[in-house]
Amino acid sequence: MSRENKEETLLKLYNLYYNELFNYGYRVAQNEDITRDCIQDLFLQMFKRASFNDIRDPKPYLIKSLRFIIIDVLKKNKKLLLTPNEPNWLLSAEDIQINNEIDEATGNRIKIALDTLTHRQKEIIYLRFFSGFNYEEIAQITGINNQSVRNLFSTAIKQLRKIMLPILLMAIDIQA
Amino acid sequence: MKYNQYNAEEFLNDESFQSFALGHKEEDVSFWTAWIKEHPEKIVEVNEAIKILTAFSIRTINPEKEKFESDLQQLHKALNEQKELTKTIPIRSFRFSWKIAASIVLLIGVSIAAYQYVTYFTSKAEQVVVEKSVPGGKKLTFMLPDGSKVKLNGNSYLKYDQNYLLKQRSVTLIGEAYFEVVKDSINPFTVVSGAISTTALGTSFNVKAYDNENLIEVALITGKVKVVDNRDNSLTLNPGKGARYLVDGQQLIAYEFNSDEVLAWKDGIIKFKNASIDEVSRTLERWYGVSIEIINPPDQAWRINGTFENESLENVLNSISYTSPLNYTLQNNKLTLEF
Repeated sequence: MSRENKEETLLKLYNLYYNELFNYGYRVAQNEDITRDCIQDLFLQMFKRASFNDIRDPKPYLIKSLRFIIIDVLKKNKKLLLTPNEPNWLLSAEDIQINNEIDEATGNRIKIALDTLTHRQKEIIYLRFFSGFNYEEIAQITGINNQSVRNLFSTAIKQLRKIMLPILLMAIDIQA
Repeated sequence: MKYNQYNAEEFLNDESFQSFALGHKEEDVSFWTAWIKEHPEKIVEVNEAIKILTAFSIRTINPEKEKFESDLQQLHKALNEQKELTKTIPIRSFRFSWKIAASIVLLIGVSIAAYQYVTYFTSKAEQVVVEKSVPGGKKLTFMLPDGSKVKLNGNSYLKYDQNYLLKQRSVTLIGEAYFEVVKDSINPFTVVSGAISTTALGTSFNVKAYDNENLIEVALITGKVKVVDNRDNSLTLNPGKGARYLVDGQQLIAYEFNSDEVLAWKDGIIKFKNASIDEVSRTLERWYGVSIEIINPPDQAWRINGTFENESLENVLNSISYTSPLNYTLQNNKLTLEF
């Protein structure tokens, strides 16, 4: 692959996925500068590859690579300097946009429900709901096996359902 | 069909159902829309599952447009630099250690008394060492590949790998330099000076590490740095705080400094504050590029205060002689002080 072709492909991918990468990275790194620098690093590393032929689908590949880079940096920074943050997953009340049809009480319940999830579960919920990755892709990105992804997702969804069901049923009753 | 038997939780866990509820895939949306029409008896379970899946959506964080633009530009630049680098042809037959090469070049550098001596060694395509050295009496300001600024004081030497942007931002210093480091949260910037190294993400600081002095000093002006010695003792500095390393005692200690005094050199100002004769003579050697011999040196209690802004050596010596009588002769860069 010629350098010009590579550069052109990379810049296309950059334009296409910057937002997605930024959103994902920000929730892992919890720091805008680190996220932006890691995205740059990701594309510089991509440029060093001989070709991109072995990458079947760029989106999960990019997310997965970014995840590695950020976790590495967080580890290094923790050892070296300033940022005390563990690579933990940020999906908090501020990240949730309550749909119009849902009242405030339900919204609060959703927030409570989310807080009961583990970092892993939050990441999986995010990758499934927000990014639209399937179980197999999520397994690749997070480095845990397919079945574990299913189990983690399933327990997370069960948890969300348990907390939200009373309110949802109430809404259904009123409609009926 | 298996879906007839599904309860709400099973719908929730079904990938294709999720994809329909979240609107991810066209084919799933049309399949489930049709299926629900045909199975009104499942409406309660289906509704519940949809409500839970669509109860919330996750907020999109929109990076600022200017930041995206500047990141894109930076990437453009970095990719171009990479292209330049990979074009360098490796000269395999000249794969000698750059350390030996550096010492040879240093000798040449001294003999031709170059004011600024920059060398590129291509021992491998990957490793290119850049050296900057400044003789006594001169100063040199330059930029590192990442845009960080360095001001080198007299009698000082700094080297780095041309490739350092892509790996680690690390420079080696003998002498004194003032650094203004460009922020990069992935690649910390490190100054190695003798037994200690100073690491920063994006800051300005001064390092004084002459190899003929028993003291290495790091003075932080802005930001935050970490100073580590070769026995892994470390100090994290805040602005206004400095680290002092005693080479003899192998001790790393914190101290407070006056930034006017520490940075005076970079603005062409000599500041003596309770300075001993040793300190005065070393400073003058560095500043004016002379070597000093002292006859009848004063005792340990001798101290001097004074500020000189862009003054000639003669003026400085005359001022000193007002408070402390001395005669001096200057011949071929050799200065003799007689007390």
